[in-house]
Amino acid sequence: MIAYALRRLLGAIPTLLMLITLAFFMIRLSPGGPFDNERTLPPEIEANLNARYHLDEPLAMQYARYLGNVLRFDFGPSFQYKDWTVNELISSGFPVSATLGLLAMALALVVGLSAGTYAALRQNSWIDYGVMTIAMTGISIPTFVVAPLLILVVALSLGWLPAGGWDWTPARMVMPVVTLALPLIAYISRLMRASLIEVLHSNFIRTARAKGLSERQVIFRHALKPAALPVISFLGPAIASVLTGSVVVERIFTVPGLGSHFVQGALNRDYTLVLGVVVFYGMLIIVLNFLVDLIYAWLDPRIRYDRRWS
Amino acid sequence: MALLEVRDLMVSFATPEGEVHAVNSVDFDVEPGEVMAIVGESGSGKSQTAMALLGLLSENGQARGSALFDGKDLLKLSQSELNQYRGSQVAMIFQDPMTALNPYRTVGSQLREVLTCQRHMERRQANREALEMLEQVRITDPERRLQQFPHELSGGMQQRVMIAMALLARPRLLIADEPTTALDVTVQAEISELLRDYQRRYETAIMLITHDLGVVAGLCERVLVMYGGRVMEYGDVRAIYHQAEHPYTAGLLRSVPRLDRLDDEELHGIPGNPPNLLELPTGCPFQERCQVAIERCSSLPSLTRANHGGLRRCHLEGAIE
Amino acid sequence: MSSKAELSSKATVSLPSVVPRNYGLWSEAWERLLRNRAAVVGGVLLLLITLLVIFGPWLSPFDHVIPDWDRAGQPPDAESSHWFGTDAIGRDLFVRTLMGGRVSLLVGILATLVSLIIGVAYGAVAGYFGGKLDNTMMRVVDVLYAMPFMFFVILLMVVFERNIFLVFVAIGAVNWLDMARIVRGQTLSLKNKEYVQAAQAIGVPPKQIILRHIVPNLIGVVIVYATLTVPQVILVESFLSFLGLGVQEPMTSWGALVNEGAQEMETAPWALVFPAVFLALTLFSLNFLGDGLRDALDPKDHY
Repeated sequence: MIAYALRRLLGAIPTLLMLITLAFFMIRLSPGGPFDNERTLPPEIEANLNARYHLDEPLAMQYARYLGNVLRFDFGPSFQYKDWTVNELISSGFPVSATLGLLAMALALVVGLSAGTYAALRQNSWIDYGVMTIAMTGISIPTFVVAPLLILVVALSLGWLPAGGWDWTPARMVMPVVTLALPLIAYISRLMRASLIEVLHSNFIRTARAKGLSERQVIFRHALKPAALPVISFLGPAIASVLTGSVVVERIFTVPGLGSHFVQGALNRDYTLVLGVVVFYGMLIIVLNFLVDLIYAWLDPRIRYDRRWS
Repeated sequence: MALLEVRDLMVSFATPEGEVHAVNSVDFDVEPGEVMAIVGESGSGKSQTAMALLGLLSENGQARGSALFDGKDLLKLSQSELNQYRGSQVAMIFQDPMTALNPYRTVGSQLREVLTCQRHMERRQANREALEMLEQVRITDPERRLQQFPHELSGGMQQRVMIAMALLARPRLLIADEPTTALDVTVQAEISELLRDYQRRYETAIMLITHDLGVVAGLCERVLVMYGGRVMEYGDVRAIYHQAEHPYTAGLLRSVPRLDRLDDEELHGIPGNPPNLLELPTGCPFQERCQVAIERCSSLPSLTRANHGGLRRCHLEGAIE
Repeated sequence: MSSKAELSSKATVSLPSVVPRNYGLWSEAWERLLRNRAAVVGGVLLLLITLLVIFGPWLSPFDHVIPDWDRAGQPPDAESSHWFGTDAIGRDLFVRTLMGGRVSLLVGILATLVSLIIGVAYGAVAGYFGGKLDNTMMRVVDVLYAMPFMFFVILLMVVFERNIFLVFVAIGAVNWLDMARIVRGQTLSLKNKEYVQAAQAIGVPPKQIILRHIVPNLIGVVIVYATLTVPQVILVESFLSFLGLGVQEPMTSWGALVNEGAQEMETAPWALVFPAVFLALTLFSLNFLGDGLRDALDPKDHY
């Protein structure tokens, strides 16, 4: 198990390097400098700015410097928010985004796994068709459509919840969390349904039935765990999807999370901020994927022991 | 009284292409403590016969007729009523131990649950019995095996575990569906021997399902030959081996290498394929591949008394060479 | 054991020619597809939306760019021919919704084509040549897979001029990974088929084998996957446009219209509802159609 973890960890290093390199050069090779929209700057001020952001150094040097800084978790100053460093923006926004993301993930797992299991056990019943149609709707209606509609109905018409804003109270968390969770619930329930149906057709389930186990025991002791494995491997993409979704959700519900900062940065062409957030999220995804792999290996004995697997 | 009395068993599957009749009106008995075999190629209905008895047909399958076990009709029982019999009274060994064992649970937990789930035995007691049973099926280092996962064992080991699992509750009838097919030849012999020894010691009735007449010869007393979902021949193993009275049985026998005939006789398979169960011919299901078929074969022969004392389904008289 | 081997080897001798011809497979798949009600509904709906998006704008007397300040924020009304109402500066929403649909659908199709071409080529080469090359190529895919895809697209939008062409190139260029993986898997199994080995044995060059024997057999899986990629791409485009990073004024797309609609939904909910419904229905139809195609072309997965 430890050997497996180490191997996975080693495998993540090229991914991390690729991430930083791609992001860095994409920004640096862009047409036009970061101060293009302030073209009237006197040359000495522009030189000053360039020196401050190390834009006067050769590209290779800038890259090495950036790489070094990133590995020390230093993403440099923001281009647009003059008094802020990217680190400060991340540490102010990320706790908010992480709270929303974790809650959404937990909600999605609980609802998605139960709905998928329920549908699989009543395959081809009306309940099954109902759950699957709702799930398909959840996949097909984008977050940025669901969110305004929720605000329109729940906040503006019914007045049950505040339409937006942030103060760490549950009332303000409900709608963003639900919006973030909906597409995940849809995916997880479809995944769980399909995989449970497949597992229920497998030979070892027949063996369990032949042993005289009750249907309940067959499902709980033998079917659920293998059926949940594809859902576990989906958690990696799910994390990425929550991060992406948070960009929209935070904007619509005016939540001061990292996603909001990111969009603002993108619209303002705040290069260091956008680069910093992309790299930060990339690193986060890599680390979380690593954890997901470990959970998967812990659940699936065949991976834990098989040395050829990598 | 027979331990198991199967009468007029029919198994059919509803498929998009139409109704598939896998088993048609099959009768047989299993006496307490006897070993009987059901023999046939794939698609002969032999496995579905076994699945129907334990209520393990796939969802689109349906079984009709009756199967009295100890006087109770297994086919009329609900799934939960069946659980009173499955595992404890009638146990089953499957063909491919690799997929028949749950890859995500330890060998120990899969063995123990036979005793703990249905019969509510205490865990420690169940563990002791599981250990004992592993020793009986001659597994080395049984303590360690209990902690291991199926994929850490060899194919032969896995099948021993399957057998141990089936025997753990001391069932009165053991259904073994091709127990040796997926294994190496040397391991096949060991597993057959194991089954024979166990059967002799505990007088458990065994219903052996196989395509391999070689295995049958070493283990069984009576044999039922199936083709196209129907019984073709039925009777004492020795008598049938000596003098088969159905062309299909004779064909199967010619395809078995035999130590008692070391002359230059060639091995022959039966040309052609097992019939399409969707479009069974009216009449004898074997007629298309039968080398001695006559016109009358387009009507289904009934089962009649054979010279070897059993039953046969053929219009032709006497022995077949 | 030997009896089984014997039986089966004899059995193959007189094997009847049951191998179905190619068109038989396709017509069978077509029948399975027609039996799937959700897929049929999806397909019909998709056809209707496409026709409406192509020809609809000509039915209306209005233009999608020119504002009409006298009629700003007008609710849906048949009499004035503003069937979907007007937006905050008086542009007709019926025409704008359909024009936006043209952009969304076009981006969806073009970006899918881009990802399809890259993915099929990459996957077929990796799968066909195998070995070290395959290892390296798939390792690259693995690494790219772990990248935060959406954030890179946004980064691309920030770095380069925001234009529609770039939107679909960017999406297509990052979306080919799944396709490459699927195609590689299929190619690996096709490679071991007799007719491919026969072609290799008589010295047909790899390029021809890939084009003549491998690629045509990938069509089924590629169709299925492409159908499922289109809605993903439409979603990405509308996501970008919603954030203001995609299609720029006066051009529009469903995502951009939803964004505009959301900002004034209290006073003019129709501006949100119509583009949202069109977007959702399109995605819904594509997903159902894609699912149906997958089940029809690959009945193994069908439960």
